Amino acid sequence: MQSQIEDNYLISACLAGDETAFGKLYDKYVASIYRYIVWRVASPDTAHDLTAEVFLKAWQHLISSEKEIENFKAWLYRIAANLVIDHYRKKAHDYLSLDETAWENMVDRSFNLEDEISQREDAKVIYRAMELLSAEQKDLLFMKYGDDLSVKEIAQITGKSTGTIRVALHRAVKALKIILKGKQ
Amino acid sequence: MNFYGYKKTLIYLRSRTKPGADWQIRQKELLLAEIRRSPIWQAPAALPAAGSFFLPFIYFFKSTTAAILVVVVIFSGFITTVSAARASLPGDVFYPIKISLEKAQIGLAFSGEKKAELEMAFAGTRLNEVNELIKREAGSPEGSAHIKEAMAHFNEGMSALQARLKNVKTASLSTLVNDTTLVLEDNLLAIKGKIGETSLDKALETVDETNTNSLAMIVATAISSPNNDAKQEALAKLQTKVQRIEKKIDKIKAAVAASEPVAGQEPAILPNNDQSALASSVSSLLLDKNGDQGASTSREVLRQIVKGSQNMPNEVKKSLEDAKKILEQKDPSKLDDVLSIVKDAGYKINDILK
Repeated sequence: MQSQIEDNYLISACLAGDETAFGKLYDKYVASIYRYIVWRVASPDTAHDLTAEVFLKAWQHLISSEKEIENFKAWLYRIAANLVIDHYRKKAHDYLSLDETAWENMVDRSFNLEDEISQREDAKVIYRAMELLSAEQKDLLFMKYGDDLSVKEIAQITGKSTGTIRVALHRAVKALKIILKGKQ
Repeated sequence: MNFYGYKKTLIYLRSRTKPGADWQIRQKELLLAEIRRSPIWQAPAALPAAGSFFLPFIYFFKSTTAAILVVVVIFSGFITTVSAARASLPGDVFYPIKISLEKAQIGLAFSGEKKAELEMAFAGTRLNEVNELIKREAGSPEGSAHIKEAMAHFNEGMSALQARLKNVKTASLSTLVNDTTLVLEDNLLAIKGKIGETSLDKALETVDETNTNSLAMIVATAISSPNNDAKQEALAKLQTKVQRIEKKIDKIKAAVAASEPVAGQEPAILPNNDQSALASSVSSLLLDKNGDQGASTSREVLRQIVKGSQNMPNEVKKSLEDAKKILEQKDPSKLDDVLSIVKDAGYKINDILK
């Protein structure tokens, strides 16, 4: 709630003429939006481009729309989600149809080779755990445990009710547990 | 791997997945450049065509001419005019429109919290204007007048914010006001450092008062709330306030040490206006009654007043030490005690700074 009030204040400030206010919003959310996107498109370069587009679209909408934004964070994620869907549409690929090598590409290119190798192994493990899940289930699990979003935020981003999200998440976790047990 | 291991791995990967640092900086610069290019305000296309909706708001405006201009601007959709207004500074033709448009924005906001957010945002805009005026008109008589005009609007906005804070007693707004007033105070001090403008003193006092009022609300919320986070936040905010007052004390002491002492005497803190007025009236009274004897007695009175001022920072510092000891105990039941000390210390130090 406090974060929402701060966001609303920063939005008011940037509309009042304080250019740095939107910069502060950018600093606050750029890493999490990038992470949301890169885990879904599996290419850091594409993720960088799409992240930049998210903030540009957000700014353009802020200055042109009369509608007050209730939850800036959720709204930003919605823009990111729509851009990712558009990305898959253009590539004519199924949503979240990522392969193992794609996952390895998402890993931070560390100067520490040992670190990088360890991360690639972790990414492979996650990929293998999730490959049998549906795109929707993968998305939900990423949002809950990867992006650290609450059920309410996920509901606001997806446009569904919190009840629906809660049930869907429960089913996704159940499915994943069965898969993980089967792989043991 | 089990589900716990999966979660742990994902959380670990989360911490390691981030955009390139160089890209982040570069992208931010590009974004801010784009923001500077675009018109911040556009004519609100969604407003109903019927003028009667807008008429009540005209009565909020002090300047009838500006009010008429605002209505004309909005219904004609003069984006250029709005952009020119946004970029204007005190003394510019469009500045009254800018102020009126801001008031219209506040008037049109539905919730008290939204109005308060806008008031804080516009207070920041006033200080940005002052900084622009310093660059543009440094040292000129018109510049000084324009700065005073910006500060008058600033003070008006802060007074409105103070009144609103009394009515909108939410914890989140109190925290936002508390944080924002600290930023405003720092900006005001930076401006004062550049130009030494005395019209800023009133603004500094108002901002400090608003900050203290918001702190009082945070403490009140913390005391009545079973939530431990609220209590911890109140403790942290009180600690910040104590540190800031201590910094002011150090500045006062440094200023006193830097001032040249009269030979054979310790450097003294100059009495503020109230104390000088008091000394002056006492002097007059004593001189009237006692002639020369009155003159030496009045000097003694002045010395006592100055001595009191000299000791004040140390006394305040001592009371703050007591506050810090209470804060160290992290005892939420004593928040009110610390608040009282902080309020008292703040008033005394602001008195000296005048």
